[in-house]
Amino acid sequence: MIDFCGLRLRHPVINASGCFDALAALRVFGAGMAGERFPFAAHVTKTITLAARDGNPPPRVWETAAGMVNSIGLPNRGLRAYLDHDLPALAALRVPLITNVMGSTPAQVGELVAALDPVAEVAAIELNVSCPNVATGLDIGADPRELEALLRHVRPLTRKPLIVKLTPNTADVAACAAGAEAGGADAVSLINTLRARALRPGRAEPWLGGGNGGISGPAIRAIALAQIASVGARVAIPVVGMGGVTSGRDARELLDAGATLVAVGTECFRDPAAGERIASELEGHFTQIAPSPRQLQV
Amino acid sequence: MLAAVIDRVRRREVPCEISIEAPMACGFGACYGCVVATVDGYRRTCLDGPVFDAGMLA
Repeated sequence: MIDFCGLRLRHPVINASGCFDALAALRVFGAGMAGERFPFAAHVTKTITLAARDGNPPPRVWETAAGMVNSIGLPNRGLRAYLDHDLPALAALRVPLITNVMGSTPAQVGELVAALDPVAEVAAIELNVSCPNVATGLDIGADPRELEALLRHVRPLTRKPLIVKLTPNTADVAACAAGAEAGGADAVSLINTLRARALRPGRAEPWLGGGNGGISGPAIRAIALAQIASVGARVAIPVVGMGGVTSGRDARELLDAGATLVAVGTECFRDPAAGERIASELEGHFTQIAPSPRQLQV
Repeated sequence: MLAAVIDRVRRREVPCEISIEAPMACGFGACYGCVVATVDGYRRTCLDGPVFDAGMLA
């Protein structure tokens, strides 16, 4: 078992927010993902906001050579519907539940955190800070001082672990991590998607309905490694590493770079059971699909 | 082309269903990447479609 901010996890692989919907997976795969067969050691929800959001106009995704660009726009039914409808179903999971939230002001984030604090099913709260400050236009999470101020506002509102999902779209991600730590964060998670654009074939206009989007997948794994190493060297709190992990070997590299846990995102779209596979590859229990050269010699 | 078909069948009140194709990441309702605009808001092509009543599409 792994201890992460007081959460007991059976392996170090969790899902990245927005990339694996436990309720959709249980509906579609049924017993294949229920109970002990749930592929992740903890479940991180999609981002929940105070008010319901429709999300961005389609098209929302674009495939690249080694990943994808998305502009989904955080569609969700809002805090109240999450508490009333999703939580009772999520409570059936046998793994700790990490609820991801986003607000556009510290007051909004505080309201979300305060509402989740008394909810027993929620083991930890992840703060999505990739939200623009309306006044400056910069992401709240891109400015170390603004991030520290946000944490100082919400820290007193809960005793649950607070994980800050850092944005890679900043000049100095380690300084942002240090700001989150100084404000009272229990952990940081990175990297979120990198700002990116896809063009409509043959035209000079954006493909995505949201204009710009964020790129994820194996294309960003080398960037994730560098940012995780940089953050790990700067802060004492645990790091959840993510960015393009598709195998146990990729996960091992992020752990070696300083991560305590590894999250799997885009790979879940290709293989919804990737969490279990990557965790078992990490343990060295490789499932042999083809005979190894040594076996062929015999 | 589909928009033109929808316009014509609506005017003539002809029953019509439209099969939608959308870029899709997961294919089982998890990613919300494949939505299409309907009179009830965005709907996922993978779960709620891919065949929609022409009257549903916005």
